[in-house]
Amino acid sequence: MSQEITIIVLVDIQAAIETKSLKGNIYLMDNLRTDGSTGEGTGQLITAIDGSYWCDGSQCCDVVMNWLITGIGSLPITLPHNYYHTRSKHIEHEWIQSIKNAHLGKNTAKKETNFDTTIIEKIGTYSKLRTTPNKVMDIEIKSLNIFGEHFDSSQNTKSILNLLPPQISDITGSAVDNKVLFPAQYGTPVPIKDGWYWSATVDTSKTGLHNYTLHITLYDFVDEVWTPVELTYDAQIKVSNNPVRNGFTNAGLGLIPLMY
Amino acid sequence: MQNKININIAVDVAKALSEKTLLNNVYMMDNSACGSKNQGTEQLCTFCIPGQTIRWIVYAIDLQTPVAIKDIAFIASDRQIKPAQMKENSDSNTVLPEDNPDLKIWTGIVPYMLLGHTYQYRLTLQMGNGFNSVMSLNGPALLYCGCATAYKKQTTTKIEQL
Amino acid sequence: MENRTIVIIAAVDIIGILASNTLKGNIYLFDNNKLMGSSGEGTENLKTKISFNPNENVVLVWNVMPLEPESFANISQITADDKYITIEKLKYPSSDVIYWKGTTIKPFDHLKYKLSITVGTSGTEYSCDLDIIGELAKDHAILIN
Repeated sequence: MSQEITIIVLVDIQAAIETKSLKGNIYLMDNLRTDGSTGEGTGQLITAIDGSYWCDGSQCCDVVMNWLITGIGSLPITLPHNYYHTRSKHIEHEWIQSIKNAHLGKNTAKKETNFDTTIIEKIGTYSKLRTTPNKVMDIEIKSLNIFGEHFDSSQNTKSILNLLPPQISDITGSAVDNKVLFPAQYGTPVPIKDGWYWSATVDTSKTGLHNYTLHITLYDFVDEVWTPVELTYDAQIKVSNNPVRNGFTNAGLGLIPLMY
Repeated sequence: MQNKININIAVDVAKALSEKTLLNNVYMMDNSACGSKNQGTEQLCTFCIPGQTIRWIVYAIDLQTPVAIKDIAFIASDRQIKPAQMKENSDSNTVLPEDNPDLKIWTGIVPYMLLGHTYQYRLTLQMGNGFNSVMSLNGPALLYCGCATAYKKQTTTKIEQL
Repeated sequence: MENRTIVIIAAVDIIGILASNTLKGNIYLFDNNKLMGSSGEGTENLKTKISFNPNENVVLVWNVMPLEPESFANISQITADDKYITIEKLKYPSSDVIYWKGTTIKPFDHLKYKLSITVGTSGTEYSCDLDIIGELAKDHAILIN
């Protein structure tokens, strides 16, 4: 059926970081199971690309592929794209509101001695991202737990930390080198926030099995700093090509078969 | 003469499959120079004249959902047809290339038509694969309107050539 | 062994479910505990492994993920024996997105639960049966004995 292809890339982030490999810790699914894709839900997905051509050999329909990557252990992708930013602001507002309520008409002297430490514990500080082995930068979001609340590392166990979702940094491989796949990135160029998403068009005249490599960046929370871990994974597309025919005549252009 | 008419069919696939009907989930539009009736609905009546080429193209409103035209069949005029949908069963998962709706182009030349007569057709769409995936619609039609607008372009061109 | 919060994701092919009227072949389940023994990842027969530490409850979180990102899918119900686990339907703060949370009450070997999903606009529910396999952590066993 004619549709844009979505490939969901689901990574078991903790397992991939611990084993330093995506093999066995990555699951791929596309929306073309009944159109011929095999290996759904495993690491061995082969996406079926059914191309079609006109009688002069030119490509008939566009085929567009989109990759969406997320992690098991991250907040779900059904949340709005700017959720991290919205929650970071709301956590501050919620705490400011509770301070206001606590101080209304009450003796504040006792509370103020603990003010500084309480604020930092409750509002939290912005997260840090390691950009090079020696450099760390602030990013504009706070660490959240898997319930969408502020993650306080002194109080919560690491198992409820929301792991930052992985990102695809590049798509390469023989499919790209042989000009079967033409990938490009779309989205906001701010790391972590909304992230990029990758999309590609396919030259369906090049039939057969083709490999492509996904370059994936995972984020490990090491000493309170998000540290990127770069891994790669190979996947495949299977391209087929068939001629189009006229629906009324099953051959070329003819008369519309009206009834009288 | 405007020699090509495009009939565009937009389908809300998820809603059509959820409600098991194409009624209110299909929006048809054409670019006929004669000014067709019921644009934007599933009762589109396309005004055309013999000799024009008509092409039907289907689009899914959500680009990541599948839809294709499975059939366009004209209905004999002496049958009373209500614009209700008819469901056909399709439980085959293997589709021969000849039957694959993705490989069909729905274009045809308008033949001799009776002036003022409405030629109703049944549009059958396939969305995905499975028991509920094939649905039909009886509302749309073609009409030989005999309007002058379609010929206007031709006369203008002739005068310029003189 | 540190007590983990387990996340279970149900990836659903919404159009596939609506067109064929069944979850079979159109749902893929995953959890983040494969390293500790979960099996059936990517199938309809996920068996989630959890480990009971003394005096601690295990928390599980369920989420649904549509394969067609703009289409609608929702977990409408999770039914399990309430002697062993409490199931709650919650919303992520500052959003309308639902998630389901389960907190164990007491240890068990094997718990079956039913996951029900609605897709599209119709509200028709589709269900499948899944398993949680429990295991006592070493120190827990000693405590009981």
